[in-house]
Amino acid sequence: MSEELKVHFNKILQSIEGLMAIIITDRDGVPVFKVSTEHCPELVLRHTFLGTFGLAANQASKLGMSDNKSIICMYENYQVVQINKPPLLLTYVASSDSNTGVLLDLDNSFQDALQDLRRVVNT
Amino acid sequence: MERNLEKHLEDTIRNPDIAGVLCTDEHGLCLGAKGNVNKDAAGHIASIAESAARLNPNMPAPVICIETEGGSILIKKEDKITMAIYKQPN
Repeated sequence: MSEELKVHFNKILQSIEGLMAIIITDRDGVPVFKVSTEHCPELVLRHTFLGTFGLAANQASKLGMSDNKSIICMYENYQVVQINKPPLLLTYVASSDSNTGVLLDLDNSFQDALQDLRRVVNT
Repeated sequence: MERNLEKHLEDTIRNPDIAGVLCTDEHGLCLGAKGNVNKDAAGHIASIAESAARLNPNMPAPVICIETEGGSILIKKEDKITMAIYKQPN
C-alpha cells in the first residue's frame, strides 16, 4: 500500500513543473506521508516548519471569517502552499514560478488516498 | 479596484452563446469569473495556455479551443493574464 502510494505521489510530483515536495501531516504537523525531490530544502521537511502551519491555520480560523482553508507563502525562490483538510494538513513546496492555482486544486487527484489516511489519523 | 474587470466579464457573458468567462493571473489564481464556470479550474487554464505558448515561442500566444460534447472552451493568454470563455454547444 505504502509503496503504491509513493509511486502514485512521485508521478504527481513529476507531473507539475517546479513541485518539489508533497507532505501530508496530522493537525500537529507530524508527517503521515511525504515525497520529495532532491531539490527540496531540508528545513521544510522538518517537524518545526510543518507544525507552524497547524498553529497558523488555527489562529486564522479565529478571525471571524469562518474556517481557514489554505495558506500560500511566497518566498524569493520558493512557494509553500498549505491546505487545511481536517484532520490532515497538506503541504506543497514548489518553486516560486510554479502554478499556484494547480497546486490549490491538486488534492482532487488523490482524494481516495486522503480518505484512507484520514481514517488512519482519526483512529 | 476590480470594477473594470467585472464590467468586462459581464459584457462578455451577455453574449447569448457564452455560458461563462474566467480570468486568471500568471500564477493560476482566479481574478474573476462569471457564469457557469468552476473557479478551481483557473490553475489548469493558466497551465494549458502556458504549455501551448511554449510549442512555438517565436509566435504570439495561440488561441486554444477545447471542444467537448457539453460545449467548448476558448483560452487565450495575453501578457500575464489568461482568459477562458466557455461556449454553449450549438
